[in-house]
Amino acid sequence: MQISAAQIDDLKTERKDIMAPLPRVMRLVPILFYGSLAFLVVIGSVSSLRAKFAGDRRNAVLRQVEDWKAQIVASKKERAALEAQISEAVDLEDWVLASMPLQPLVVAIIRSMNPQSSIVDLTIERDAETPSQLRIGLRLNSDSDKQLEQTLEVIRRMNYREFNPTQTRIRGDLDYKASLLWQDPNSERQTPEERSAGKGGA
Amino acid sequence: MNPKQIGVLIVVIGIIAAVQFGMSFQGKARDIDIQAEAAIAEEKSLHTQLDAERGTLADLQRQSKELLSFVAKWQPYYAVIEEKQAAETGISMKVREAGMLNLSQRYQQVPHKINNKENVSLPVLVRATLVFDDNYSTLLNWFGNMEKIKPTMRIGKISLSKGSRGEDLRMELVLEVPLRKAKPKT
Repeated sequence: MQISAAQIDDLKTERKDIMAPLPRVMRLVPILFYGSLAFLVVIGSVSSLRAKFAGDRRNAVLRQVEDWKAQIVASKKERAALEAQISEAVDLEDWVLASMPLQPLVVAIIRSMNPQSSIVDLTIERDAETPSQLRIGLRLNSDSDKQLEQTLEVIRRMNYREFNPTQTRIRGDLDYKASLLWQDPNSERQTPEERSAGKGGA
Repeated sequence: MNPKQIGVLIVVIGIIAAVQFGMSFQGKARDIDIQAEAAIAEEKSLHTQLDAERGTLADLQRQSKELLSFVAKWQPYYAVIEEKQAAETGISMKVREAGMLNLSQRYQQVPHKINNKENVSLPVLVRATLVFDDNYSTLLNWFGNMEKIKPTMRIGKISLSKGSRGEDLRMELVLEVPLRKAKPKT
């Protein structure tokens, strides 16, 4: 059975349009939506790539940083060990430079005596605080002052310089006291072999 | 609010969410970039520090080369004496071997200072005070020989005066032997 169009129209109930149309500007909303999706895809991809490259770069640099840090620590350790070695070496060198042999000086002083003179007493003492300095006390039995001059000349030839000398006569004996400074003990660093062989110094 | 408006609102929220999401991606990338830049700056600074550290070390090595090679020759002589007993025995044996008339022997241990500064590596001195009365040449040769065979030992004091017999000398000798600081046993 066919129903005519007029009859169908008749079946529709009469009603008002229930939703008011949206303003025309709202047509932009879907455009903006698609635009935002495109923005998300483009910016997301670019940012992800950028983040990946930056992350790789950061990780590589951080590995290098760790390597540098380890090398700095190793270098500092090596420097500390060297400084300890130097400090010990300075201590040993201080001793070596302040422990020059005295026998050559004593022998030279004794040999400087003329037959008419004799040594009553000879004392050579190392200064406790400045061991490269010596204190000499020499009591001579001699008629003339020339003997002392002769002995001092010998001492000077042994690279010692006297200072603060005092000279007195006690019951005919000449009493001479002075400090002796080994001239420039740093100028020559003797090896143990050279010292044993009696080279340099006193 | 009608369904159309609700639909628009939902789409607008979607737009805002998409933009925010995109911006957060960008922010994250920028943060990683900043971290990478900071790491590069730190790496540069560390590299400079390492160069300076290596430079200092090289300078120190160059400056101390002569000193260390000098002291290296002396090291074996210091290495052997770490105990007072060893120093005492060494000296008293030499005194006995010489067969000289030895009037007294006294040993003491004293702190070692040079120019009022403590010597850390050689903190203690064994000081032997020996008194002899013997022939002039025997005494002088003996103490000269001691200075040769024990190059790390030094004479702290020597005092010579007339001995008990004609040509003899009375010699008071103070020998000082530095004791090396004992290294911790590993």
